[in-house]
Amino acid sequence: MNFPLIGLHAWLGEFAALMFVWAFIEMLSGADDNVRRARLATVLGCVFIFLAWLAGGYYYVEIYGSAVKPLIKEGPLPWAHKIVMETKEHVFIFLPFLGLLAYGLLKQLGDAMPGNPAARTAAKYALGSLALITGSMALFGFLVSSGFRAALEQIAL
Amino acid sequence: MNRFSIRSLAYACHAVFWCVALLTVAAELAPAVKNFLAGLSGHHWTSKSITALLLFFAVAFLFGGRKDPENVTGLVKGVIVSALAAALLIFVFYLLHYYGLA
Repeated sequence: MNFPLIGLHAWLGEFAALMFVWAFIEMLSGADDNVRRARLATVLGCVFIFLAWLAGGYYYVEIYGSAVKPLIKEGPLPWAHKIVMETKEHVFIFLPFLGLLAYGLLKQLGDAMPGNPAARTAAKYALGSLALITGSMALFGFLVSSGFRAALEQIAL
Repeated sequence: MNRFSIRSLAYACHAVFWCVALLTVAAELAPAVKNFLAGLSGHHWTSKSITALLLFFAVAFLFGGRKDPENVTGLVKGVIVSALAAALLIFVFYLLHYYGLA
């Protein structure tokens, strides 16, 4: 039963995306309290994305490669692994580092942000792109799961 | 994080994104590269992840003392363009690979 680990990976990733959306929304106003909350949300987002990296990585290396990948590749949607999963597993590695950049921005320039629209814009770019890319990982995960489900249906029917 | 300037974090992001993208393509095109990566940690993906972590902090430390410009928006925009371009490279490579074109 592999669902707990992949479920944990998905939950952590989706919660990270939510934290980055929260931080992005705080930056739309950018007052002192908003920056303080954006910093907290970004820290939480970074922690969740690092934990998602560990949970997903362990699942990918120890379980997916031997129990899931061969079935998807032999199933009706082999592109779910050969294109989608291959892209997802590598692009995911970008996210923790983009998260550290966003946190660095808020840590270094956060106190000046209420009076510095350019710094706020930079933070909005970083947090918005983080939310979009992290959210896209959920779509990629859905496509991989669909490939696995289609392979299982082919075997069952 | 105080020891790292925004510039150093941006440079470190560029380095990681392109290192991962180029290692990914190289590992698919040259089995020797994939085997080398797999031999380092037991799995090529784990080796790429560890390489990314080490590279990020190495580059960030290397450029940590560099002063930030007055407006850091350009640095951040550059990182986002870099992330999207490297992600697109990986996706297009696997798309072509799937159809036997790469």
